[in-house]
Amino acid sequence: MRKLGVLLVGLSLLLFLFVPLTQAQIQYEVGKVTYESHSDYTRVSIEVTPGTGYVVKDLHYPPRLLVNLYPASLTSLSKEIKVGDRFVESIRLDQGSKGVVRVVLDLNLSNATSSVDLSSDPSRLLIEIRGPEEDLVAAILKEKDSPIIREEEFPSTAPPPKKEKTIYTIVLDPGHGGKDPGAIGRSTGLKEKEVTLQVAKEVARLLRNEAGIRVYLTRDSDEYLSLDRRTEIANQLEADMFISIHANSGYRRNAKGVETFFNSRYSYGEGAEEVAARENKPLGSENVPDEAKLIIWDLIQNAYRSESNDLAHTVQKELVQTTDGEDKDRGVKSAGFYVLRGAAMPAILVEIGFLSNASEETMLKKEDFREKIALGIVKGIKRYYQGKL
Amino acid sequence: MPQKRKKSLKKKRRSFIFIAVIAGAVFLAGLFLSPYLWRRGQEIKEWLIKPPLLEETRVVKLYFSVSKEDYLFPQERKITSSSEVTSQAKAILGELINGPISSSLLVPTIPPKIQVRAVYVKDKCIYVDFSSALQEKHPGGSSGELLTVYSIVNSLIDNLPSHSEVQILIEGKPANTLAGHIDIRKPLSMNLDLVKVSPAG
Repeated sequence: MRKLGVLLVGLSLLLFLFVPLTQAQIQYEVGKVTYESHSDYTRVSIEVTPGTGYVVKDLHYPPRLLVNLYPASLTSLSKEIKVGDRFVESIRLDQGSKGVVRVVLDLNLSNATSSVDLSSDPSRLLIEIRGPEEDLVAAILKEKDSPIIREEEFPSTAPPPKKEKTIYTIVLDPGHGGKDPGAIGRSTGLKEKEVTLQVAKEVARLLRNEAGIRVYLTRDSDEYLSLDRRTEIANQLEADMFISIHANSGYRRNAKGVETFFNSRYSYGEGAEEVAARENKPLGSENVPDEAKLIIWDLIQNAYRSESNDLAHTVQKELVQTTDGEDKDRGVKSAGFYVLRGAAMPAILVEIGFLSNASEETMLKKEDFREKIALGIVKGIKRYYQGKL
Repeated sequence: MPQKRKKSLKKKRRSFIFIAVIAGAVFLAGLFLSPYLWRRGQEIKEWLIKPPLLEETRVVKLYFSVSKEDYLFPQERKITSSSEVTSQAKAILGELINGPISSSLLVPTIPPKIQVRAVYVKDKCIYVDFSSALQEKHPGGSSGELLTVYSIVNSLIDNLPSHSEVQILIEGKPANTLAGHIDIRKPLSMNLDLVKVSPAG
């Protein structure tokens, strides 16, 4: 009887003691880190305990890839592996907050693309770093006569220093494309992605005859491009102007006309001066927190706001005049456009007419009307840059 | 006799130890379980004491698109909900999706039959989680998109001034845009540039 009691007590005690112990028993550890350098990519493999999750973030200035592993712990305090190949400079691991291991890949290319995947047997995280999405840039550059972009790295600080320009670079961005048709006309089913491409190509054709202007399209066929990629291309080309061309749609069937947008003040710009001053560190310095970098980046873009405003007004005015659309002048507006946000140059978005309006849709289907619109945009662009050269 | 007494004494002592050990075990178990039991107790207490939420009716301003121009104009409407911000927000959005009441001056800004999956509140921000149909059924176009986004933001903030920002989520996750134009990755504040004072003007 007594033995049974002692046994019971012992058992229950053991049970209680083990509840927290068993929970703490699974140790999520980060094991061996290896890498393979190939000519067209670098693969980094990190052994992890099965069940470990991860979050990936691209960091810029300088280019890095941050992978947070959770739950995970490092057996050592921190670890740094020197790679020094074409894509990766080094791999750094350290224990972030409790249960989080930060893996930072210092990249040698600011426009590298990456893929991160968990692989089992053995359980490991595979990170692959490749060159830029060359097919897209190649698509822009495949036009004859256009010079090859310099292979050097893009500037690690934004924006590029103003230099004496003899050539004015314009990036035209036909809205939507591929799987994203944009707005669709209600009477004939005209797709926004088609009209925008036709108009952008016409603008490019007209501008190519101009001396001192170099013009690029973000896409020259019916292909899908992310919004980020569009401004990224403009930044890589160090463009002087980014013009996104769109066709409008509204809830009202009688909504009509052309309008031009530029971006509203970026949210990070609010009070950003103080933060930038508090950090008091140059851009690109390793110790600037990411949040501060975002703020500084937004500040730089806010600096282009008045130029974008000027450009928007000039283009809108010429567009309205060329298309005899005084009654269709919807004016210049500012709003928070995703596609304009990443641009480190004056950037505007032109809405060339409403696909939700049957008569405008019919007009946009006609080649001579599209040519008029293109001519209006070209006149606006020329008037704007002539004041700048 | 003494032998017997000794035996019974021994028996008594044994049962005493036994009881003491059990009591000890119960005490220790209680000690281990106490935080859990205390929490459960609090939950039950809260559940018992919390008064049933009272439904109340109030007048709200809903922002719809003006039919002659692409601006927003408020229309007053009665909603019935509990006083909680999330339930008021849900009622406001429900009415906004239903569209304006028999008015030739106003048109809806959200495609019909869109579902609000959930409404959350954190600090000064109201998070509204829509089904992906809001993206899929959206007619597209910058103008249409601007009106959709800010009819939601303005209608919520104007009527729930305890909060200053709204973030639109799609299927529980932050989204880039609704139709490829307006950046909705971060919370947005009220936009009065899009609001017209008179629906005819």
